[in-house]
Amino acid sequence: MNLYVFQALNGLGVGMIYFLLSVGLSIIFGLLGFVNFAHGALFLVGAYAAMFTAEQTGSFALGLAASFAVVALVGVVAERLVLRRTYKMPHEAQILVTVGLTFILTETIVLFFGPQPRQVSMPDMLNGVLMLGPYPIPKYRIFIFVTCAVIGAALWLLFERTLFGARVRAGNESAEMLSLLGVKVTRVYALTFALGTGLAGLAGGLAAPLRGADPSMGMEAIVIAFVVVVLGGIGSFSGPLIGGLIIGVTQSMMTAIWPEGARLTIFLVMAAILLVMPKGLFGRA
Amino acid sequence: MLETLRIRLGDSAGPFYLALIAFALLAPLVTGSVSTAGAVLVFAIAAAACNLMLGYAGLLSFAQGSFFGVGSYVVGITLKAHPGVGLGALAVSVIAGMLLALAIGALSIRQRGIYFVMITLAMAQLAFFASLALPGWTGGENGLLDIPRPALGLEASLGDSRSQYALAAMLFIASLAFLRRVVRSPFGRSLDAVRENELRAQTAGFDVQRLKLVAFCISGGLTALAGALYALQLRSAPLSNIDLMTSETILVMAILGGRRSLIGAAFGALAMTLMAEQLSQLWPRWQMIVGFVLIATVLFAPNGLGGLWAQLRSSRAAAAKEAA
Repeated sequence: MNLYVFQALNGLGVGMIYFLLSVGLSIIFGLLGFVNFAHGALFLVGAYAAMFTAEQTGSFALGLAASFAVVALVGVVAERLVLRRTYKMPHEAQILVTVGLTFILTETIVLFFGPQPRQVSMPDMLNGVLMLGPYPIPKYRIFIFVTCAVIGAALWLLFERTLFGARVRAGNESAEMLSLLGVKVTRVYALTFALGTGLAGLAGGLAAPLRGADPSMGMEAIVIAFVVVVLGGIGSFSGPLIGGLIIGVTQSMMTAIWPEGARLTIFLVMAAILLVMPKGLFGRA
Repeated sequence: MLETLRIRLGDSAGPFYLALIAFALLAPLVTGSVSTAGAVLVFAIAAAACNLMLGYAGLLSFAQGSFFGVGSYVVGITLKAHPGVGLGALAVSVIAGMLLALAIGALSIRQRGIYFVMITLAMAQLAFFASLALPGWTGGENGLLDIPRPALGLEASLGDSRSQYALAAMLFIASLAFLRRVVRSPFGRSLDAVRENELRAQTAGFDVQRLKLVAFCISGGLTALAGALYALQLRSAPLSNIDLMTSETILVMAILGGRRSLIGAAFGALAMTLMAEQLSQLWPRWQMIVGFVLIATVLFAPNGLGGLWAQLRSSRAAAAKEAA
């Protein structure tokens, strides 16, 4: 029994990473109505950006900063050059274009870093465990949990309590009206895109010390993000949070119970929930 | 109105069948080997079945690779257990593919737009991890090996690999001819209505969910047939057949060929197979080029090779009319 509690607590850390990953996807979809299949590849780029920066500078914090900054930059460049042309196209076209982008990003990473998985070390300060009652919890998981919770709260404040957030929400309602009011909508779009993609990068940077970095992690991430979004709904904060935690905890607990089937279970859980609640956990129009 | 009338009258079945036969006969010459050409025909079936979903029903499915993989596993399991069933094993695969499509469709078809895409992707991963977790059935990471080929009765005159090719060619022609009939049937026309305006189709009394589900099952069955043929060609069913990468490959072929062109799907399969074969020797990171090609196709030639072909034909027809 204790093992399960322990695994569940561990799963909260992974779940928060899934939240961070999916909330970026959700933000971009919410404002732009854009389905970014390349979100997983951006997660991958974030992991390698963090690894490379940390190796070069010796600073884990700089690595995390780089994972956000590099990926946000990649996201903005891709938005400017290609993705902006697809806003008026059907979602299917957006997905196919970003599948193409996924190929390009993944192969670029392999080109520079090779196909082998890489270990990513965490700072000494975060190595080791912290006793939470009777349960030894790795410090790094606590760090992830706290970091993601702070970021989640900051995002909520940003979107609900600032002028920028009001503009994003207004753009969501009517981009045309917003531009008639003198707001540079394309700039709001670009900033939102940078933020949403940057979050995927940061999630990759945070996940790297847990699982290492390898070229297949992008595909894994996009599938997880989609499962989270299918369960929790898209365009909200609570959906990705609860969806992410459910998936993270399930995966972590099943690793203890049935290791070969741990990843299988994620999808079984999703299928079961969809059978009972075809519209996901919170319903949607 | 006039345009559609012209297409209906001018677009008779003869050239289509001739093109299919010519494609099957010329593919070994173009690719330079019977086995590569066999793979082209197999993926042509899968890409054309993907077009039924993408181009006609308007649904982007990432589960195509699952049907393909299940088709190859089922043909392998059936033939290993009962070598006597012969080609009947292909029929078992088709049924398995349709059943899987029914199951995935039951979860996903009610969902609109992107949710459908996301659920098919997740279900494709489910199928992949299930194959990995059930090595007793699928051989796990090694795949299912030593699948016996059923006797075709042509081996004596054609040799083993050529008679496999003949089998693939016959089923390629039959499958695409079948799909052509499907998309031109009243059922296919109602799929057009659903794709163009789902709400209107529903209001007009069409059972939208059922139409989509039937299309998904046809697509799943034919894709499983392709997977089964591929397993016979390889004499094995590798785990990679059920990988997401297979779904993506089939999708890219369908897009390259043109989502509303069945013969285009064959050319998409040919182009992608040749690219994979030639480019991968030149540069191991050739998939980056596929990425650029995919983006360029969606942005600038949304109807793919088939669209270019149709454009050429109609401009020629217009020129001929002017000359006359």
